[in-house]
Amino acid sequence: MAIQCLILGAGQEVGKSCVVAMIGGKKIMFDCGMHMGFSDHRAFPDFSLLSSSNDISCVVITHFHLDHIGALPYFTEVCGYNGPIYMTYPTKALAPLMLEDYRKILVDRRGLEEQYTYENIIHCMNKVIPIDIKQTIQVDKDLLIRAYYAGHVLGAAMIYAQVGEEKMLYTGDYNMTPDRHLGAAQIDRLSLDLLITESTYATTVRDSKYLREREFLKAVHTCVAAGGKVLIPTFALGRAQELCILLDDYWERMNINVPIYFSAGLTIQANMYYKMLIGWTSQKIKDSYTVRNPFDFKHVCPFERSMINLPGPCVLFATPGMISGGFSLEVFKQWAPSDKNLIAIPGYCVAGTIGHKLMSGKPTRIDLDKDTRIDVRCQIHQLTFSPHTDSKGIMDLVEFLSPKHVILVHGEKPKMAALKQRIESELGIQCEYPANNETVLVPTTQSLKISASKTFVRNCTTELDGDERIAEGILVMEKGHNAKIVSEEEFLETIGAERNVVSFTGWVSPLAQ
Amino acid sequence: MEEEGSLVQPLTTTCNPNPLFQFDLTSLSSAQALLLNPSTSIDTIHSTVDSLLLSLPHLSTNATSLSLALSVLAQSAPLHPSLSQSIVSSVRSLINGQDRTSSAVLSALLSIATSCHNEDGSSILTSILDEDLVLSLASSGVYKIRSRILRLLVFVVGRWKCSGKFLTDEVMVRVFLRFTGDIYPVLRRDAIDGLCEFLTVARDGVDFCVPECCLEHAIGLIGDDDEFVRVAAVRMVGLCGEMLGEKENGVDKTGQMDTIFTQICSMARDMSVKVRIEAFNALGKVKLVSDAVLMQSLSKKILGSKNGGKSIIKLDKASKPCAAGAYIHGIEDEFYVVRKSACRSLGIHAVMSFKFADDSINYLMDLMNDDSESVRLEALDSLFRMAAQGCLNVQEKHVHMFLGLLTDMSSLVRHGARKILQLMKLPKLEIFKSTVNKLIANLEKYPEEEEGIFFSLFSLGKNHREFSLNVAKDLAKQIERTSKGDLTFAKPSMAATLVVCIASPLSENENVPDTPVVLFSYAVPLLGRISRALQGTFDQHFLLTFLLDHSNIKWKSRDLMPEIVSKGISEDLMQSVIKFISKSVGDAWSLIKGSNGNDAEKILRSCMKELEIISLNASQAAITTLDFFSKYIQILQLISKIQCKFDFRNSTTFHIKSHHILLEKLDSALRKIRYSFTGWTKEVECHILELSLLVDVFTFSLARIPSNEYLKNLLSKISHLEAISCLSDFTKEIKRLIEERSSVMVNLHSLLKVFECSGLEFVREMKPIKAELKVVGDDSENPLTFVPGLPAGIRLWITLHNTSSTDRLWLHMSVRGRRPQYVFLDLSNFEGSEEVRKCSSLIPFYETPKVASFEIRVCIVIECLSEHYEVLKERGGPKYDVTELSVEKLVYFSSVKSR
Repeated sequence: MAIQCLILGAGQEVGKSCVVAMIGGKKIMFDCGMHMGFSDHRAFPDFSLLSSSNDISCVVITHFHLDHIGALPYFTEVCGYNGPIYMTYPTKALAPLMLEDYRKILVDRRGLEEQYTYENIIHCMNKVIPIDIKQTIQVDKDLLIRAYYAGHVLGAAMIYAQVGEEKMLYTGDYNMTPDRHLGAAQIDRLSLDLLITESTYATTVRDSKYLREREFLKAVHTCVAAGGKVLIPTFALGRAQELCILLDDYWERMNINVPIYFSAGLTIQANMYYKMLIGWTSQKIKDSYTVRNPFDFKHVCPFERSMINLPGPCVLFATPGMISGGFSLEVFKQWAPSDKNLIAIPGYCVAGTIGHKLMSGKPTRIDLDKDTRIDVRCQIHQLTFSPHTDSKGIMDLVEFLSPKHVILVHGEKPKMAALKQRIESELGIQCEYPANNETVLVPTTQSLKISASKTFVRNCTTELDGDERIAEGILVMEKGHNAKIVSEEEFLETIGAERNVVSFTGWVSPLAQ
Repeated sequence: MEEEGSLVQPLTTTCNPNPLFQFDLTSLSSAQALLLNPSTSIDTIHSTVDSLLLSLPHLSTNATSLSLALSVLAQSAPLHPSLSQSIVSSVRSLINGQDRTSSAVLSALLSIATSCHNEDGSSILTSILDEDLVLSLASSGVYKIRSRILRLLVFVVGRWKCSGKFLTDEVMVRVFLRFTGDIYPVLRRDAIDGLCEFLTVARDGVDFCVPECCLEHAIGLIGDDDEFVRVAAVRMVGLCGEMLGEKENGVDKTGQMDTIFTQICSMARDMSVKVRIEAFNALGKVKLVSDAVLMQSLSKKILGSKNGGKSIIKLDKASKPCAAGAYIHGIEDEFYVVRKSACRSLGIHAVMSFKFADDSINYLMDLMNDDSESVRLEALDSLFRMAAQGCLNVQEKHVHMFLGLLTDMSSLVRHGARKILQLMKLPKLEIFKSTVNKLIANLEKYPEEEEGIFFSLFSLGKNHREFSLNVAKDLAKQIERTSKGDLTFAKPSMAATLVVCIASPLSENENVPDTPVVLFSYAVPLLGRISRALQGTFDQHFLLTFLLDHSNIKWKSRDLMPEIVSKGISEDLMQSVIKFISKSVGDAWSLIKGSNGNDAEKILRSCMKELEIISLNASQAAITTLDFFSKYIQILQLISKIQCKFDFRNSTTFHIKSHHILLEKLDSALRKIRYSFTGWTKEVECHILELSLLVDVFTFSLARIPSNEYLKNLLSKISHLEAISCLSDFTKEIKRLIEERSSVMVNLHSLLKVFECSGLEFVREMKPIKAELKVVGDDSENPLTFVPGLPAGIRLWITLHNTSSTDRLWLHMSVRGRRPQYVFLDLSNFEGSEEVRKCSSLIPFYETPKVASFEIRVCIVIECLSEHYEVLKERGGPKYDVTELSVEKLVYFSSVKSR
């Protein structure tokens, strides 16, 4: 028996995660993502490699990021898949927002042709069956799936699938170190045949997050203490909440009275989801939830456009991240010329954005267009918060689960090769990192129930050899009968043979050399 | 009782041995009910138990009934310990019976043994069990039997020392070790727990190989599938590590300890919270770990072996990756309990290795940013221990975070941070200065912590001689620049900086010549505050002499200051303090006379402050005097105010009402001082009477046309004074004026001129007249009940101090907005002497209002017999003015209906 894995996406690359695994004769599609770097046919997994979209038993989506869910409406509405789709409750809630947002950007801003319509998204999401953490779902008679907490983003899950004796786990993206607002990945000891894990940071070993937090807080505190303004350009979900909890806590402890603002569009909706989905956040939040919802920030107030030039210190979270336009750019224009102010950029910035320019060296002026030029005198603080696990985390998870095989996806080829090397040498587990559209066959062991005859059992208990018990017997497998282990005498009886003893005598010539 | 009788009936028949008798379920449950009922008589219990025991052999064919009967016996044994022995001896024969029977017997034994006192429990087991029996039961194929014998063994091993042993140590350990391989996780866990118990109990008595053997098994089990087994196994690894580390056998144990440490480290990434907590607890127990392995536990990256010796190379392949970053994972954990545990064990290792301490301080400092307060406190505790061991090497990058703690929300955290600061060695002057500034910020935000802050500043100054000298010079320059009397120096920051500056000269007599003299003079007025902070280090007297010696203040009387030997303020010092205050009061009085009320007020206020500070560590007798003086000064303050008003009166508008209020206040203050103290000298009494005369003069002059009543009153006081001693000029003058029938008002100024106000002395015999009141069984949560309109009773405990039998005391009870009710306290009902009288009585409160709930104010007052005659007659209350002797107490009532 074997598990057959077809890597449709995220093989030796990051983007369009999609793996179709055939386990015990059942086909499961894990994730159905799109590649953000392409806008042509390469953006989607090559679904033509599937013989038919409807021989798939189920589709399971791990979390709401577009590179894990982006192609789902296309697969269901255009390719015509109509089987069950599973995702966690938060993913189901947030996914349509992400999909629609991206579709709009694609069509309205870039003027490209859309791959699916708004109606497609709604129709597709209507088919989704939500699942909960550690809930076991019997998809059909043989196949069961179960979701485990993965950290990473709100509602991210690792998916365990089992058919008969064959077991596998697809991790999706996960984080082994907890945030302030999300917990660390959590899993049981499962004896797996196959583990498919992400490997975004296959070779990076990250330092303690405390160092980054300390520096961030120090920068912000020093700035506001000197009467400056702090701008933190972020996207609505994830980092904004993480940093805000950090600041809100610090403000509370240090008794700081400087206001923290959230620009209006950003949080009202996002924070609402977080408030509702408390069960999916970290232990700290769950603990304090009984007293107060930690997403009802104490020091946070809504921001209005007219407040940009008000005197006095403040901290402002503004969308979009990377200062790629919109409100955060507007505020940046006003605040950048003062050396008292601080711009804190959390996370990665795409080339071409102002955020990227600020991070790559300290520019003194930025030409926005030929008429607008911004003098940049403010301080710049760069933060690296990543919700992906590092190589130590991957190794720890693999070691904890000790599966028989590991497949690496969602990473860069050279780094994956290094990680494969480590997994094989340090843990002695076979590991592969197939490219897109490759199929990997993973052999599985099949266990078989056998019965033992009474004589054999008696022999076992009597023939004691020190502490170790060694018993000899003969395994009999007949068609139509259960396999059975019998003792030598019984076996002779069944086949009606007599015991013959052949003895040999050997001699060695002392001269033979 | 009837019921009991009817139940006993069928059972008592069994006492006549009837071999055919069989307990059915109904009678068993009746027996159970009888045995568990606490009011069953002893005889009935004995006969019930006897009949049950007699029937046991007959029940042996019926396993269900037998096990039920045994469980009934087991349940009753804890309630009736006297029966244990007979039950045990009867079940002895059944232990080798059928599987179900022996498991029932074992569970009965367990419950009997656990209910007994320490030694009895295990001696009961010793009387029944022996090695063969234990071994045969332990190797039984039945889970229940195995689990129960194991639990019995775990029970016994906890009391191993105080009982006779039925197994040798070796057999015991072997049995446990065998159970660690059982297929049932519960048994594996229990077996490990038993081994742990054994190792702890027999700590020093065991051979070296026992913990080694246990360790081997435990390491095999830390990868167990069951969470609880892993928890127990990790605990045992830690325990074995601890024991092996302690035992001396002349071999270098670093290698072994390293292996144990890394093994436990590998559990730091377990998915179970319980295992992780246990793992970090265990890590703290393993000592003698090599630096290389410790350092590895602080780094997720595998450290190169270039900086280590042989042991690292050996560990490289197998164990090093396990240890990698264990502590990092621990302090970043999602659960605060794990972080706390990691923090504690990090602190333990940091104290033992300097190299490790340098690195771990980064993480401990970072934990100051943790969201859980208990983790922050744990980290502070670890840092404190490091500081105490001298291995706390603070770097510049930590300072911002650490100093932030001084303005933290939590007072515990602030306290912890200050404790560390007292021991810390700061590398740079800038850091020193910012630390001082942060402490000042702490002081400004939380002035109630002044004592602690001053002590930290003092220690800081003491530990950094050079830096504090630098600060001192800056401060002196600042003082020179500003003009005298600048109020900026009255700020708390000034006091704080002065403490830093005088610390090192004071503690080591160093820096003295370098420290600017002016600072010592500036520190003198802060003496009270500084000496409170340094309680236990320097006494106040020493501090004062030191400061005066080095300052440029010339104060001759310092030589008169007595040496302070013990803590608290001695009588001599009290006398000098009182002398000083008395002198200041005299000064103030001359200012009042000279119509310089503001300056007088300043002097009086500072006297008050001084009294407050001194009374903080004064003896009981001294407190009475101090209390007297503070009341006296209050009176002078009021007189000063009134005097001001009188001056204004002639020139501008005059508020007669406010004047009356002041006079009323003065009158009541004077009453209070007259009736709250006893045992004063003639001089004091005269002075107080004269003061009261003065008040009368004020009232007199205000009334303009004095009534005869007042004149009579004045004359009676004067004659009283005459009786005590010869008259002062002031009294003589008044007497003359009255006799001449001239207006007192006109001569008010001349009268004041002759009034003298000095020479009050420390009166040793002075005693306070006071009362204590305690309301029994009442607080705002549990009010007393009442029926509206009907009287309600209040149970009171009253204690009276220094009252004479001629005093007339009343209980004053008032509801807001109503006339008060007085109840006379008959002193003959009290027990005790004049010094202390005590009494508990039920006082009725008559006019309960028609409301759901109300509160009344209760206090004890004394009638001032020599004062004005008041019209309170018709209420049945006191006839004269009264003054309070006790603190006002609130009594809460709630209506019966509203309950």
